[in-house]
Amino acid sequence: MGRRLFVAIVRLHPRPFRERFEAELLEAFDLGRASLGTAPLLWDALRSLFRQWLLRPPMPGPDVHIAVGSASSQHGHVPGCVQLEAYRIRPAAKASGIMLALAMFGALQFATNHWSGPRLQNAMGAFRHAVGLPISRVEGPVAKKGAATVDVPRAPDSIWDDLAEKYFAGQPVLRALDSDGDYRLSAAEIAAAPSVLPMLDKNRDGKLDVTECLDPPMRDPVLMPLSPVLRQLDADRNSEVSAAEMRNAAAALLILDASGDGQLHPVEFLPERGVNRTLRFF
Amino acid sequence: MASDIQRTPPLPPATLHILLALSSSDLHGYGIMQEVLRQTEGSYKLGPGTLYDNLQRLLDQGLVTELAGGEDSRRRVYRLNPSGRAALSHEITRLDAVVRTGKLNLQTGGA
Repeated sequence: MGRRLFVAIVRLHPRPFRERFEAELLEAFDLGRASLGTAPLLWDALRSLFRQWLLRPPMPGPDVHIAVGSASSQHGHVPGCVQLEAYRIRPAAKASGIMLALAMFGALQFATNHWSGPRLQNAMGAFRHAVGLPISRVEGPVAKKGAATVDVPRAPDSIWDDLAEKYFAGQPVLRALDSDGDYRLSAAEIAAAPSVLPMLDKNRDGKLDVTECLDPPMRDPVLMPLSPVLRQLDADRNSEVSAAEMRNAAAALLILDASGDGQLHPVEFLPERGVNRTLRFF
Repeated sequence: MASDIQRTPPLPPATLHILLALSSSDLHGYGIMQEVLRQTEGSYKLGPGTLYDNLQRLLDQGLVTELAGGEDSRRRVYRLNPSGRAALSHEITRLDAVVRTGKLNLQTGGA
């Protein structure tokens, strides 16, 4: 039984090692088991197995020599010779690589599914922006898990400016936030949001209702969530932007910063419908 | 070679005992195990797995040479190379310094 186990462990060793030392290992086991004991020898073989697969560099296989035909060889000179080293990646390295790749993939999946905070969104957006991928826009309540995203390809700035100009006409909040009127919300304008938004509170009730957030004919509470900016500002979805939500406005707006550059471009805050219409042309 | 040996880190116990066993005579695998057992008076039991794992490394590093087997081809004999002997010598010198320092410190501490 002990010998069978030892043979099995030896056969699990890397092939070059096994072919080189198997007979000697078995002989040493047969001769040494009386004095050293079977269990210690089995344990020793297991430790050797671990070291061989994980710690030892691969044993090179036989080198391959290929004669290369050349003009000189055809004329009776010494033929050229290329030596290819028969280096093979050891299975343990492959297994480690596969496990590492799976672990990385799993970690990324977990992070994107369970940690959808603005920092991660911005980091992912910055990465996509840097490598030229379409930016990914959040389409839904970011606070909830599994918020859907949609890829938005880039289009010329003029297209977005035209769309934004029309859109801003019905959006007092955006007009107030965009202090320089360039249809973009810079980092400074986003940071100033908590102090700018209370100025829209005309009835002085400490919150912004639909009459203060939207111009006619869009003045309908049902339409508030259709505006990505208002959707983010109105975190509790009660069709009002409370004093607390105004104080948190900068952080809420930055959630829309899909490109991760710290400012909001029209592509990041125009309603999806407008974006999708624009996309038809690109 | 000397500079290489100077940079050699302390030898693992199994490697040291294998080199020590081969320093007196050429031995086959089981002979090395027996010699280690004898030299350490049974306190260090070298298993075949550890033995051949280390022998493989020593062969690859050129510290030990494999000689062709005699009547029994399964029994290959291993011989310590000059470089292996130099590595062993360096390790003995290092251990000697450790022992001297240890003794001195213990004597000083006990006084």
